[in-house]
Amino acid sequence: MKFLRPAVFVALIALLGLAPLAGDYTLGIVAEILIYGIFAMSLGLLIGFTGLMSFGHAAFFGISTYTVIALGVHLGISGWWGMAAGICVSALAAAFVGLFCIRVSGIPFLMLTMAFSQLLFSVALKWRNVTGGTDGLTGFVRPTLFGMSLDDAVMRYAVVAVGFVLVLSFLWLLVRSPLGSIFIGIRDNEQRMRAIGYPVQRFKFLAFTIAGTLAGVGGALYAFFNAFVSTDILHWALSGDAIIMVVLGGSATVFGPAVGAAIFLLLKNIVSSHNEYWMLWIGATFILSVMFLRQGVWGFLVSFAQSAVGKRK
Amino acid sequence: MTLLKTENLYKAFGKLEVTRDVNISVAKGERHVIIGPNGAGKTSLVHQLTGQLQPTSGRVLFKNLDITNATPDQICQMGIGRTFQKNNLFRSLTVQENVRLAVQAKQGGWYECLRGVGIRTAQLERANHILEQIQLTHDLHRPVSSLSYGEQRQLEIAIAMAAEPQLLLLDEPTSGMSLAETDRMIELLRSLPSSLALLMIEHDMKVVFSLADTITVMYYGEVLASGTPQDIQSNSRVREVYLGGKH
Repeated sequence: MKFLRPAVFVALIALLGLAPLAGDYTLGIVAEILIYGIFAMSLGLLIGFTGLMSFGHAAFFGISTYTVIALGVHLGISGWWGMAAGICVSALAAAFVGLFCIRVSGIPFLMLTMAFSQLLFSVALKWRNVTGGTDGLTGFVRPTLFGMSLDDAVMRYAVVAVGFVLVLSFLWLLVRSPLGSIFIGIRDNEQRMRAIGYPVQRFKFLAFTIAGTLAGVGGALYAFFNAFVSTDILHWALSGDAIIMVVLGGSATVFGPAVGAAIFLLLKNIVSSHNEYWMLWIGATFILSVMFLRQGVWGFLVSFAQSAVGKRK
Repeated sequence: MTLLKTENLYKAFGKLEVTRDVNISVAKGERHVIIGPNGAGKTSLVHQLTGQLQPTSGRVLFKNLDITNATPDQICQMGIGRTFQKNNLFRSLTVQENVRLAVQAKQGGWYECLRGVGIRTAQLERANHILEQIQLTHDLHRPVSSLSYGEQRQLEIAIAMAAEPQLLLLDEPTSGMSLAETDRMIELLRSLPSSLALLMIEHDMKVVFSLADTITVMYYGEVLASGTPQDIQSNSRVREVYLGGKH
């Protein structure tokens, strides 16, 4: 196990480095996978490591995208400042929503997170001056980096890839830190955590806020990627997609949800170009994964690799 | 010196009175055992002492501080540790990590969590020391699920000890144990530091009489009698409802 993580990391960096050779179309798909990977990994921190089943995670992804694009379109603020603002807005929104949601757990928690995200969805729908309603907001000018515009597919990809690696590394460090061990303890046995002296609510709040902030990182990158935003991004269906990604890839590992995002988006891209019922195939894959790969695809691969190494010893 | 005291503690769920004006006290270093038939309200009482349940009325005092409305984590931080009647462990973690997590709760304010790895080494040492004290040393890196039932009961106590309590509440530490395991548990409880007060719920009379300084008998939510083991054995009401007859 010890060498598995560095090996995965090196392989991932190599793959990310080679991706631009595959051409702009493929690069676009990879960038989208990485963005949704960030989003899914941030939700994985809640579902897999803290035991909080949030059904409103799209709120923190979407509010960041809206912030970046609305600031750019209405006020002409550069995307980089917009990104900083978007991530802060996500953090504040997650802290605010978290304050209410962590008071309950289980199904009520799930419903409450969903209710808050639907609230945000309705605001985006009605506040047309700012959000453009269902038509969305167009005319966002992507920022530049080192004198090169992010309109260039490779530049855009590079920024997204760096963001992905940073979030992945942060989460890897977090779950191994003392704070991460507290989250895992809460997932395992909340009652006992209280009995050994942890103010559990405070740590749930912290986990919720961190996860929302990281989703905001993904949302801001999505603004750069798409340069357009509409209310779809706040719809509960996106929160549902994220849960499918987490479960499909495996919630017990940090990286698993990103693998889930890759499978989800590849299925969507490949199947939808051949037949319009791509949701059916994702649904079927999801059911099979839940029935036969309880740890998710990535979780299965990791435990397979571990047992292979174990046998050789 | 009185460590823990309850004053007219009363708890009712609707019309069901589980704790009726209970007044008990535990002194520093005392080994106090609560006995009583099933449904006498023993576990409900412990839950009220550690904040898992709120009493309807009455007070709980620990070191002369009112802890009646304190939360479980606050009570633990003040120095009351507890174990549970059913094993209540962190099932996906290793034996060592179960104890380390509890050590961490005691050693740092929560912001300490953001500090580096150095602090972890100290926590692991402390965890290993506690596991040694509880005689669970052969493989610290095993998952909890691979421990035998009796070993899991021991780990329950190790986790509670990590909080460095002055008072340890044990909810049936030998329940479900074999005879040999029970004997080991008695030895283990005897080996705990004499400054540590124990308040223990127990059914096994062998355990009760080999450890107790004080025995409190509960019956339908009330304290029927409280005193030294000799007093209790010779108490006619206790013999009638509990020790005598089929027991």
